[in-house]
Amino acid sequence: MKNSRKVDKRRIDYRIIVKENPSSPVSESYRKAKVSLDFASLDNPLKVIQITSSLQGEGKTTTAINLAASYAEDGKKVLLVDLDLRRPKLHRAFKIENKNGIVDVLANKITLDEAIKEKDGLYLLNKGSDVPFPTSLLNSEAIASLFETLKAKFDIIIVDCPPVLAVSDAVVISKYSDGCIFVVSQKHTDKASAKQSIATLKQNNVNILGVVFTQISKKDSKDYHSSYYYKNYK
Amino acid sequence: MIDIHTHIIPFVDDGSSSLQESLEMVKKAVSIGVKTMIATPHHIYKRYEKSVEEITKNFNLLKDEVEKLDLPINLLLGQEIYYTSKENIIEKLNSHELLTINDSKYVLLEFSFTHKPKNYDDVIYNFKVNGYQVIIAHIERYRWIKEKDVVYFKNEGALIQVNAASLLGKEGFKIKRLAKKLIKHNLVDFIASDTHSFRESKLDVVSKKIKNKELFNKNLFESEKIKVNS
Repeated sequence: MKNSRKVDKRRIDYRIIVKENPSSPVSESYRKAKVSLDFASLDNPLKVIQITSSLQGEGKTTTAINLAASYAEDGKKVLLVDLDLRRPKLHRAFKIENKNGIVDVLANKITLDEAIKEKDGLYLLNKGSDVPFPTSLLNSEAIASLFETLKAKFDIIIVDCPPVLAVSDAVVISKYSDGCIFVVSQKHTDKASAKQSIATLKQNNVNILGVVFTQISKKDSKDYHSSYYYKNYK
Repeated sequence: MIDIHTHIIPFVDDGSSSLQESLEMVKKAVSIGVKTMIATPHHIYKRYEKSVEEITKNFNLLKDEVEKLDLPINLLLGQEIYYTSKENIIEKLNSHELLTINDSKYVLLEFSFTHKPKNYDDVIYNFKVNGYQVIIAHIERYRWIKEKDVVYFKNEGALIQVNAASLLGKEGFKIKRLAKKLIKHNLVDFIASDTHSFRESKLDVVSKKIKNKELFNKNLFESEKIKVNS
């Protein structure tokens, strides 16, 4: 990993920038991404959108959180679901511990209503307890059926997935999602990894909606500005 | 100087075994220029589990003697808590069954020497969302620790403490090398003694070798004593 010794004081930290700093260029970019998705969704309604990338640390979770917040801003009932079962981070958006989540619902320890958290119009289904065989869980009937239930309750479901090159989970999840957004970090992602990941997704007939570029630095400004924008993938 | 990690309280752990020894340790600290000393007895699940009452009683015993002798040093109370998922440490901190440093938001936490903490990703974060800031004790001594782990923990909001003795080679060459590297890369916040007996504090020896005096003088524990929520 590049620059492993850097302690980054300007980390985004899974914050809901769209709420905290609604007029910033970053927030605007998320809204634009959402608008692009709205257009893409005209012919084929997108209800379940998964977010993935090639490697770790590219901004998947932050993108998922802020995209969801953009939809919520627009009056939609949005649910964030954390299916990065090995290194979950979505619960950080709500500044809570990772307890009572989807794993616990599927293990019949708690009900779905007990697991779903709400904050400022945004809904969250975090991972919860540890699970010994994550990929098995993602492949199960139980989760597919849970998603049917979720689709009935929410307008949009945004799913945070693990990176493509780490495990096969993102592909498994595509079975019950309508489309996939691929996140690329301008700072960290190398071309080869991105290409390989996209090839893998395409091979598995994943509907790639487009690419979001993250962690872009504007060298002409004093502060580190990250802007995120969306491009239709061809 | 401030020494944030010491085992000077008698009768509560593997540190001082008598009031006399405790006083020797405090006197030694005074002689080398320590103005504030934080007593951090071990709390280890199923090994050192003295109650807060007992620890406080013995701490006060020492404090009273120090005052009687008019020693120019301020003693504060904390604990060195061994992190394990088998114990609900955060709940115990909330109910005051376990101690933060001087009732502040700072918690001195110790990890296993041999294994990464089970909940590595969220360990520091979980304390943070409950209002506590972790100080990781003698980070250089963990066999599993690499620089990137320290960077990760710092990014998560933890503060980092290194033992003076490690910098003098007491734990071996590799650990000394790592400790020096971490300091050089500005990843360390405190150097402390972790003294368990009156022979041990090498804080003065090390302080002469280190340029950055901040590492010996950061007293965060007396101004904002209230627990801050994130």
